[in-house]
Amino acid sequence: MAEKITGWKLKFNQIWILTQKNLELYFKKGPVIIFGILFPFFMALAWIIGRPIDPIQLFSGILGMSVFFMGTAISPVIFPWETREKNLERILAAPINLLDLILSITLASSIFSLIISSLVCIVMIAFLQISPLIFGWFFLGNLLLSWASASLGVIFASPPTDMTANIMTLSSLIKFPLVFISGIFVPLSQLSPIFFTLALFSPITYFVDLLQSGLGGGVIGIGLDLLALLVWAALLFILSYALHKKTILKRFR
Amino acid sequence: MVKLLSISNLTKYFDSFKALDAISFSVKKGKIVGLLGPNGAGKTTTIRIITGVLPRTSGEILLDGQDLDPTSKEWKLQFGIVPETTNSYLDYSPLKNMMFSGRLYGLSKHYCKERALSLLKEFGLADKIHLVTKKLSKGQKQRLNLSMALLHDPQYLFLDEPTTGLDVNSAQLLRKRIQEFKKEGKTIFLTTHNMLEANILCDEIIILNKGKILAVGSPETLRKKFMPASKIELELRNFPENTSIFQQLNLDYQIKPVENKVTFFSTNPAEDFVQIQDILKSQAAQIMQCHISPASLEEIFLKILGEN
Repeated sequence: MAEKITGWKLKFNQIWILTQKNLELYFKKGPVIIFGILFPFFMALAWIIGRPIDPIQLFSGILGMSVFFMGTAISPVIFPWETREKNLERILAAPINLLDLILSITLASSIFSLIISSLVCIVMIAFLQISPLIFGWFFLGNLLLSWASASLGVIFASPPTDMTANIMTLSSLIKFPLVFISGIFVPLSQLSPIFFTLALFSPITYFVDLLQSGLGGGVIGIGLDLLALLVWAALLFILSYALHKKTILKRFR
Repeated sequence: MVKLLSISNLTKYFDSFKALDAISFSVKKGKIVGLLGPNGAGKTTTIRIITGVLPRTSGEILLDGQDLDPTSKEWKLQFGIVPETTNSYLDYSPLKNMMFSGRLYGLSKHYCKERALSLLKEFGLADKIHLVTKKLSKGQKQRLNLSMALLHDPQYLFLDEPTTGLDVNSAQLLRKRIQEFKKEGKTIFLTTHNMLEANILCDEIIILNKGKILAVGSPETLRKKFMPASKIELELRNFPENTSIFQQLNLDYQIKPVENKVTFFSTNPAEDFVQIQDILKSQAAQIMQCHISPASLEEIFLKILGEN
């Protein structure tokens, strides 16, 4: 007699099984390594080499890039990849709904970002000799920005294509401007009113400011930063679900 | 009570394109049903709608008289799908693929592992359980697909071109296994371009084209309805120069004088064969080879498509 799991336990199980699969199979895929690890690494390197940068700016900037790029690394890859390999059809033929599927992708991408960025944070705390207490604010902000970034990655993957390269190109078109307007390279306090207003439209801004506020700088304030990150995380997740709900069936024509 | 999958007026639009046009059929438990049709006929769309992957635009699907939500767990647990191409995770081992699939269907970890190992053994993959799937041969991947489809013990199995690309032995084994599923009471939907396979396996054939059902029935019923005549194929020595003598027989016929062959189409082959012999004797022609056979499913299929 088959032993079957039902109800909420089944739902949590299914989401976790899908999340595990997403982590195990995608963290070592080429586009994930290139866009999630190599890109932010070389970008950070190009930024810091030969420039005197304030340690707080450096700490918040590198971690901002790290969380954002890693958060958007896995999530855009899965939909086009699994459409091409027909795994998506297998999953949707099982008792799984779209929301569970998107939750599992967002969760996997967030966990990937959370783990690697935390390692980067620990190394930077040691290297820059910053108060280890900042890790608490970092972790909280990382949870929210990773989720928002992962949701943004899922949004990038909403066009019903099976071409991963197209999705990654599209994502770069949006990701880079977001990084540049986020107070990573130029502190928020030094931005002109127009660019400061523009910076408010990037979730990275609030994460960078959260870390700077935690270290005694920052212009927005910890409370507002966390609230803004929460709103971004919720909005982007809802938007990612709404967009995929519109396009998911077009993947099976 | 006999379980029944009943479909009526099932219609599917993709934007303005009508992929399925009010198709209706019903299938009893324990039958093998062949879904035949050219590419783009609507076979895969039908399967995707029944299994809850795609929503229908209109129409009714009843499972044992019940109008369940096709996206519900209760509905999806009834179905197992074996796709034409492998859609398991190539970087996972067969066992990991099985565990992943089984647990998505709500099987407990312990039970899932036990059943996965038993199915992998049954399908000759016991020594490959830890090998990455991409290293398996096409036949082994197809057997893995079948094992994954059977993991949650579905009542309905959809097999999409299951023997395409398999070697003769693997294909024969798979056909044998399909017949065993039937004996176990499972209902099997088979899409195939292999008419011989459909003829051997299927109790019922549904011929689809451009989203419409053109014919439904057992191979025998379709034969009687669309091509009742048997073929009498003869190879002759001293092929008659005057072929108009064949017109005396009142039978349709095709001649290939270069190959010394003539084929007659007859609804009463035993009687007509005697007459054919008489005529050939009068022309000093000798029968070297003779082959009498009913119309093949392929010929019936082509005739039905041609008529429509």
